[in-house]
Amino acid sequence: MRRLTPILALSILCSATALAQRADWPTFHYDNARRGNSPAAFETCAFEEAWRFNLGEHTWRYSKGTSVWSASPVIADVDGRTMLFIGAYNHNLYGLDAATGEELWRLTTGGRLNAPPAFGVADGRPMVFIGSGDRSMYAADAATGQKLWQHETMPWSYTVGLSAPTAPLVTQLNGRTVVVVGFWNSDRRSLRTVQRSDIIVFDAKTGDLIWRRKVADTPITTPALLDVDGMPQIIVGAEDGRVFGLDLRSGDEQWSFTSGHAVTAAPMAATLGEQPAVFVGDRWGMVTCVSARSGAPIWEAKTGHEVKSTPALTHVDGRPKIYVGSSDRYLYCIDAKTSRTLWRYQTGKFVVSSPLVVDVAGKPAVIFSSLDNRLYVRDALSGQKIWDFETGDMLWPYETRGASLWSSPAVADVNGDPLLFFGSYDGNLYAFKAVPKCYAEETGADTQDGSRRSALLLYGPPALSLGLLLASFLILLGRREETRPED
Amino acid sequence: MELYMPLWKIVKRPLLPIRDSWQDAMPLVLLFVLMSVAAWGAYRLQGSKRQWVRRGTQVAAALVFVVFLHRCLCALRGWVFGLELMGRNNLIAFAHMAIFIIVMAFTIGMGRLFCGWLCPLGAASEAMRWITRWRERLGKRRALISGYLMLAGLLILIAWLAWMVAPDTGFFAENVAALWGVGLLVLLFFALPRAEDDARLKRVKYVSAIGWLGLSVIGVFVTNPWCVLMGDELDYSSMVSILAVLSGGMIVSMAWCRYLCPLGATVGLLALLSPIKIRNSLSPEQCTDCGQCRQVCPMNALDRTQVDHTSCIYCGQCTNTCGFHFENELARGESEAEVGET
Repeated sequence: MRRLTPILALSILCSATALAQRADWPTFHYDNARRGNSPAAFETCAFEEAWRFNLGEHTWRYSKGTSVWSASPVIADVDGRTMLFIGAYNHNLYGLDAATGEELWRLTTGGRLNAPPAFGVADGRPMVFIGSGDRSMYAADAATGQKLWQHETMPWSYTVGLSAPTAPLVTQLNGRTVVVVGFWNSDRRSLRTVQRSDIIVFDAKTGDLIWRRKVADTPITTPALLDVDGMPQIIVGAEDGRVFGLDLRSGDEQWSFTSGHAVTAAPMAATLGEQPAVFVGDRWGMVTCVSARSGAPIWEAKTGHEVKSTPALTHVDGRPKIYVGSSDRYLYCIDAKTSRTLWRYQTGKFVVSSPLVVDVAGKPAVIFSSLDNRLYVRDALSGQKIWDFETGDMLWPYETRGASLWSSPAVADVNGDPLLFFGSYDGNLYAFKAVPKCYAEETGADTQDGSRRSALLLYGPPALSLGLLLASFLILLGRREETRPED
Repeated sequence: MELYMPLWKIVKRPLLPIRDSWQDAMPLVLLFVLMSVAAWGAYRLQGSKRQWVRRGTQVAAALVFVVFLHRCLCALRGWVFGLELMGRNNLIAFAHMAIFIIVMAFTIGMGRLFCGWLCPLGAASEAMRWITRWRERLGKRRALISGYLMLAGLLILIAWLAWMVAPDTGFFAENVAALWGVGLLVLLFFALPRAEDDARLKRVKYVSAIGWLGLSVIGVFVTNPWCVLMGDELDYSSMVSILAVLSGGMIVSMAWCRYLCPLGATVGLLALLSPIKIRNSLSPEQCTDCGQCRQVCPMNALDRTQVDHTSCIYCGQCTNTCGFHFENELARGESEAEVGET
C-alpha cells in the first residue's frame, strides 16, 4: 500500500490536471506550443456528420497560395455557448454556433484569410484575433463579431503585395494579455523594395503595439511558445531555412538553427524530460528535432518529400511519439526520442495538413487529412484504419503544388460531447460526432486501402511489358551482321 | 505502391550559406569550376585526352549534384519562378535563378558545354547508348523489330507506372514530367522507322520548351525527370519520367536530349550566339560520306560537313573524325583581319 500511495497520488494529480484542461481548441494546433494533442475523447470509433456549413457562392478565383479555409478552425466557449471561428479565402471571418453550424456573425476584412484565428480573453472580454492578407491584424468581439481594433502592419501602395500573416498566439506578458503574430510584407517599388517578416506583439485589449522586430527577409511560419528555463520563447521558422527562438519579453534572439532547405512547417515545441525541444519540417522532407536552449540539432529523420505539416505529439506506452504528414503522401509516426520511424501510412496524395491526436474508444488515434479528398482516423499505435470520410473536390480545378497550406482538423467538446471539425477545400466546413457502433464492426475494417485495383490491372501490364522487353533482347542476342545500317 | 526514399545526400546543410540561409553558394562555385574545366578540356585538349576529361567532369558533376550536395537544377522553371519573386522575395528568387544564369552565361560565351560535359541526365542517357549501338549492329529489319518490341514493352510499363502513381486529384498538375516521359516514348514510335525525319522531329523540343515555360508561367508546378536524383525526393511523376528518359535512350541515342529536353532546347538556341562552334574544314566535295562522324555523334547533329548547332552538345567526339574541330569565330575573325592588314 505504501508503494501504491504515491502512484495513487500521481494518478489523482494527473486526473485533476486532465479535468482542469479544457477540451476546446483556442488556437492553431490546440495550444501555443502547437502540440495538436486534445484532451477530448470520443467514446466510440464510428463517426457521422453532425452538420456542415457551406461557403455559398464563390466569388474569388484561385491565386497561388490561396486555401479555401484558414489553416484550422478555432473553438471556444463564449458566454456559455461553444463557438467556432474560421476565416476563408473570401475575406470573411465566420463565427458559428459549434453545436449546429449556424452562422452567428461574419467580419469582412480586406484580404484573404489563410492564417487561422486565435481566441483569447482580455479584461474579461472574449475576443478573436486574425491576420489578413490586407496587411492588417484584426481583433473582434467573439460574441458579436464587432471589430474592436485593426492594426495595419504596412501602408498601402500601388506596388504592395499580398501579405502573409501567421496564426496568432495569445498569452500573458507582464500581467497583461498580448497577441503575438508574424507578418510577411513585400513592396516592389523600384529601388526601394520591401521584403520583411516581423514578429509583432500587440496588447490584446487595445491593439497597442508592444514591440515589433524584423526577423527575416522571407516569409515565416506560425510561431510556437515554449518556456525554456523560465524564459518564454517565441519559436519561429523561416523560408530562408532558419529556425530561431526569441525572448517574448524583449524580442531578442536567443538561438538559431539553419536547416538544409526552406522551413515550410510551423514548429511544434515541447519539453521532453529535461530537454526543451523544437520539431520542425522543411521543404527537403527533413523532420528535425532542435534544442530550444542552443539551437543544436538533436536528431533528424528524412521523409520522401516536402513537409508542410506541423507535428502532433503524444505519449503512447510511455514513449513520446510525433505524427507528421509529408508531400510524399505518407503520414509518419516517429519516436520523438530516437527519430526511428515506427510506422507510416500511405494516402492518395500529399499530406500537407497538420495531424491531431485524440482518444477514440479508449485508445489514442491520429486524425489527419490528405489532398486525396479524404479525412483519415487511424490508430496511433499501429496506423490501422478506424474511420475515413471522403469530401468533395477542390473548389478550383487546379492549385500550384505546395503553395497552399490547406486546413487541418480540430477537436473540441461541444455541450459535453466531443465534435471533430474539418474545413475541406470543397467549400464545406464539416462537423462529425461519434456514434455508438464502430465502423469496423459494420464493414469489416478494410485496412488495406490501396488494394482497390484488381489483380489483372496490377500484374497484367508489367507482365506483358516484361515479355515484350525479353523478346526484344532475345532478338538482340541473335547473330549480328557486321554491316552498318548506313551501308 | 509503397516506395522508400533513402537519404543519399552526404552534405545536408549549406557549406557556404548566403546571408545565413539555406542558400548555399557551394553548388554555384562548383558549377562554375566544372564549367571552366569543361571549357578548358574542350578547347585545349585533343583526342582521347579530351574524352577522358569529359568523362571526368561528367562523373564529378554527377557526384556533386546527385550525391554530395542538395541542389535542384530546375533551371528553366526556376527562371520563371525567380522572375515572379524578384523584388518580393529576392533570396528565393536568387535561389531559383542562379543556376540558369551561370549555365546561360557559359553557353553564350563558350557554347553548349553543359549538356555534353556536365548534365548528369545527359551523361546517364549517353551511357544507354551501348544498347542502341548493339542494335545498330543488327540488320535493319531485325533492329527495327527489336526496337518496336522494346518500345511497346516500355510504353506499356511507363503508362502503367504513370497510372499507378497518379494522384486522385490534379493529375496534370502533379504529373507534367510523367506526361512528358510518356510523350517521349510515343514520339519514338515515329522516330524509329524514319531516320530521315530526325531533323523534323528535333523541332518538337521547341514545342516542349514553350509548353514547359508556358505551364510554369501560369503557375503549374512542372516537375523534371531529374527531381528524384538531384532533389533526393519521392516524386512519383519524376520517377516515371526518368525511367522513360533512360529507356528512351536505349531505343534512339539520347532521345530525351534530342527531342524533348526543354532546357536543352533553350541552351541549344543560346549556343547559336556563342563564338565557339564545331566546324568542318573539309568542303562538301572533299567529304566521302564514310559515315564515321554520324556514327560517333550521339545527337545525330552531323550531316556530312554540316553541323546542326542547335543540337550539338559539344562532346567533341566527332573531332577525331575527318575535318571536324572546335573553332573560335572571334579568333578566326582576328586572324583574318591580321592577314588582311599584312
